[in-house]
Amino acid sequence: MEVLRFHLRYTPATIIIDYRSKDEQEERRKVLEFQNFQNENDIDLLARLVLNRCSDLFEGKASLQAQLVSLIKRLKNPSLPLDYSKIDLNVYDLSKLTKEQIDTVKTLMDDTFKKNRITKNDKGFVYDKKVDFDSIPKEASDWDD
Amino acid sequence: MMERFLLDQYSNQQQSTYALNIFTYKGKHPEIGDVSIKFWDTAGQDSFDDVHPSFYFKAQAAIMVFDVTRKITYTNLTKWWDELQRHSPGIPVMCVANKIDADPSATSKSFKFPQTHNLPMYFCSASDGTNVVQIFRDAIKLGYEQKQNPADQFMADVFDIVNQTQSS
Repeated sequence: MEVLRFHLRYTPATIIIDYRSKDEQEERRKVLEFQNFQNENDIDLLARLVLNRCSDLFEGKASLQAQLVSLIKRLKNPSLPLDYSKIDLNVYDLSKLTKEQIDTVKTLMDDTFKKNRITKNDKGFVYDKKVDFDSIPKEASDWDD
Repeated sequence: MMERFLLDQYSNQQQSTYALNIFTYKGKHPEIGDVSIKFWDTAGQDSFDDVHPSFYFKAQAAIMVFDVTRKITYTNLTKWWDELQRHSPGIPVMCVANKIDADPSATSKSFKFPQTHNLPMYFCSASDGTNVVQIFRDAIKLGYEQKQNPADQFMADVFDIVNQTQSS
């Protein structure tokens, strides 16, 4: 199963998930309407409800789960300035955000970090791991253009 | 990066304030011996503006880090450089390109920013640990020397290191 996109509807509070299963070409859609949404303050609980109902879409996908949480928060508080799922991190200036917002974006970035991470408990762990990159021939970065 | 460096500590004190983390490090530096250092770490957001003067107070060295997967972080270095020069002119500064695990091709690029300001340049990955400890040890050494002799001698040392980096 692959999540393709999320949609938000504010009244009534609804999260719509477009997805596709591996062997199908056709898109499918789940529509999750929250009843009593404005009285419910526990964002994590709401997120867990969604995760339970759509476990086949979210299982093991940390960044998608984080995205879902941020969307539910946004549903709760439409004045949140940012749709994290749409920003292009290469050009978006995170320094304009609050610490809380940065933390949310960072959970989205965490996937690569976790995938490549070598921790103290891993076999190849060397505390002072050194690699010499000075000897690699360099060409000018186009970031300076 | 901080957390990767502090992996040799049994416990580390961390104070978190708004937009700022302060890490205390007590350890053995291979060239200096026992050291006790406070690292002030900010993600660089604008809302941090309020604490800037205290942030720079008594700073002995600075590590400027950008993310090789996000150009904006590199572009913003110029802004940080100007601010650093306003508050702590003359302290040793290092430039670090982080996240090379996510884009290894960055290690075959040269960047104008460190060249323009004569800064030693490092490539690292906080994720897999590449060069992180080296960077902090070098920063500690630079900061230590800056504290010992804040005058010209230490600038000469910086240029020594820069020259070594460039010629090797």
